[in-house]
Amino acid sequence: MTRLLAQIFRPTLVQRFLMAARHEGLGVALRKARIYVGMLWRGEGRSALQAGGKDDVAPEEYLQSIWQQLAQGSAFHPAPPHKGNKPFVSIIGDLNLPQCRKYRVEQLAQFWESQGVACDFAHYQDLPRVTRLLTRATHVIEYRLKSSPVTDMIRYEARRLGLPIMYDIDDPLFSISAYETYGNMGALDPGLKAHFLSEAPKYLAMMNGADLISVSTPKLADHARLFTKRPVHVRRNFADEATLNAGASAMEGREAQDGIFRVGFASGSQGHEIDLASIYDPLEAFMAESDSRRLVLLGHFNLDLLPKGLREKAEVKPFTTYEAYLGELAQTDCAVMPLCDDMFNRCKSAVRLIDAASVGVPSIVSPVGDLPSLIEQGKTGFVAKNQSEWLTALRRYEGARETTRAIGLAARNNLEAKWVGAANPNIIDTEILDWMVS
Amino acid sequence: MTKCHILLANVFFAPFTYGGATVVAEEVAKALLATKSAAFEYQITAVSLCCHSGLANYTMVKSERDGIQNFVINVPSNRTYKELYNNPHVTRLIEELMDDLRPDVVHAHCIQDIGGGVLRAAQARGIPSILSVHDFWWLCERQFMIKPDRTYCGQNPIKIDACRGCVSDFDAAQSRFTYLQDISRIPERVTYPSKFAHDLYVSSGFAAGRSVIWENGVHLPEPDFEAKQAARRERDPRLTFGFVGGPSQIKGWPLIRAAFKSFERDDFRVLLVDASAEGDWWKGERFDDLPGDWEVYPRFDQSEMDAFYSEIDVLLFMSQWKETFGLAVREALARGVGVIQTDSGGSVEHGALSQSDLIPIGASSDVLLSALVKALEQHPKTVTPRAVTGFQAQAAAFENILQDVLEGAS
Repeated sequence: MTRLLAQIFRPTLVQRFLMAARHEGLGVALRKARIYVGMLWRGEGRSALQAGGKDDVAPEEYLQSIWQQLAQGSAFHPAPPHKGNKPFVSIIGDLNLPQCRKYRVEQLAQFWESQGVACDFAHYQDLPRVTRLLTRATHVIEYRLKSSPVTDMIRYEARRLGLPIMYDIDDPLFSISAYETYGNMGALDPGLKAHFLSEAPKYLAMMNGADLISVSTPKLADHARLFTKRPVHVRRNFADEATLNAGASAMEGREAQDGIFRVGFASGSQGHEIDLASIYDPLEAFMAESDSRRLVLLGHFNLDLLPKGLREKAEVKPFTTYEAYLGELAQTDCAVMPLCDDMFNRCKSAVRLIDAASVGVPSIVSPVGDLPSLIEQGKTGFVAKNQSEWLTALRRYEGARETTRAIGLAARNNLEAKWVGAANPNIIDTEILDWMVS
Repeated sequence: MTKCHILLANVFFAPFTYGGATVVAEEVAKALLATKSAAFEYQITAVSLCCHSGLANYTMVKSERDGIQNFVINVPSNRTYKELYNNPHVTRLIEELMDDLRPDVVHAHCIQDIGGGVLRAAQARGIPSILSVHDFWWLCERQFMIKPDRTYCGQNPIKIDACRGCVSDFDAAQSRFTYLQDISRIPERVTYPSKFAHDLYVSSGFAAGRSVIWENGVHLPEPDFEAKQAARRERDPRLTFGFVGGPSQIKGWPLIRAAFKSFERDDFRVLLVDASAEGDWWKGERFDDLPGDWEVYPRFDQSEMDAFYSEIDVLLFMSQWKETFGLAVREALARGVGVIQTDSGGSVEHGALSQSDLIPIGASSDVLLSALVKALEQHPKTVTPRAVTGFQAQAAAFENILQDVLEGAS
């Protein structure tokens, strides 16, 4: 306080105050003095810039005012980024789902970095960060966004900047025909299903406003082409460095055999009880054959929907972090990935298979979606086409533990060799790579 | 032809143009872009600031006018004293920009509020830099060497110890002074708009050995200016005085007012330009107790300059401090408009007036009154337009500096 008083009561300032009072009146002089003392008190400096604009604006109007100023100043349309510019991809996405964020955003960022393309990402509601990334971008990837006043504003800014836009999606969220026939919807509240159906056109609107669409599987690409004339290409999910490292750590942490044979089923979201129900018969039969068999349910699962025979054999591991999930998965002897044969599931990627392979656990999968693409039958896992094959595969795994362990390691080796973030045709279509250099 | 990408840092830039240094930055940039037969083909990217409450702090927005992209960083209004000369948030954004754009050279043109971090960032990336000084910001926290009581400081050379009675916090001012002196060692060249500014800075220990005088240009008259001027004089033959500045003591307004107040003729008019962003400089000012016709002339941009100067016969430039250049004086002289001016630093280095014609800073209003009476008695007087540096010539001079820097860096 003494210091402040000493700063205020200086001869030059007193002179200034008296001068202002004489020329502009005591009221004005006091007002100026109050502003000046306030600045000193807060430690602020005197800037050449004058503040303008409104403080509180709705998110969808975040850029409105600055756009108006740029337009008034004939500075609204910057030229698109030069071809010679260092490429910089900004991924703007809905990052609320951890699995989606990992496989379609963080993984993609890592992929582009490995290709010499700088990349960064932002959640679409973090508008300051979105704005900054768009300003830096040469290319934009929108992930899993639906049309809304906020996303429309983001899209408008990207177009104002002349940026090429790719839209990325890994589920047929745009498809009423897929949702309406999606078996897993049966496990959810009807109101939730109605909500999903009403959202589908909003995803399609975003897709159709992009220059290019990328999806996670060939089947999803085919399905998307029923809805859009935009070019649709595939960028599969793959085993990124973080997955391989976490998987290796989980394998090292695997506990010694206790004589129990554990079958793992992972569910990262609600509704997958219906998928597991498709193999209840062979699973129950398998579990009934011995007391030393367990069903390990990882993640979200409604136990009320499980038959009594399986419930008694179930070990439940609640939804957790990705690393902890891999740790739990590594304690199983095999993983099962049944999928009902409906349009939604046909579009599914093989992320659960990648997770299992990363910890050296062999899988049995349905011939649905992209799951079979990663399996060499009998060498890195099994594709079970019917109930009988499911039971046979489970028995084979249980009956030859060493071979089962070897198949798990082969799955891991296969993953490292073919399903990592390289610019190979099984991972990413050439057209997407070309888009980046266009 | 060698391509040369210049990252130009200036506190304001189009579309948020404000102040003389910004005009110079923009016009030189445009002139460089328009250069056809030079050894270099230029790409220019600007980085500047705005202060917009609706946007988040340190958001960056891209704009473009006249082929120059401008990355505008939004800064909060309540920045600390230190953040005005060394703002790590701004520096971090400029570092990103440098990494993305990979410019060949950084031109720190008028970087008050941006801070010295831009030069450090360039140095860290091995990008050569040129610093252009426009006022006394690098030496004086009050930017213009004007004390709180609105009088000129007058130090020469500037010694920070002598600033004790003027600055609000001497320790903070000393830290600022030391930091900016250190920063001044980074750029390959430091330019000054006038010998006066150069000598004052160098004698104050700033950037010794790398200094060069780089005279500002002005917007030269269009071919039809003379006709416009003649048409106005025919329409209204009265002598018209012009004043480009606000009603502040430091720009000499009280002196002008006092001189006119005692003027006993009224066969003239006066145009007062309101160059403020908000158009409020002259609000509340009354002229009904002054002789002659008085009029506030709205702010104009470079392309509208001829219209203003064709309206006046004599420019009043009554700064009560030592300006580093004085664009308005050159603009007037280039158009054959007479000038009554104070002996104000770099603003007199055009050579059009003798020392005896200059009004000393601090002189009474009677001295100005005599000059006004003389101008009126001599009216109409033909003033021959003077050869003045234009922006093309200034850009050409900059190219020479640039080539030296780039050759030294290669």
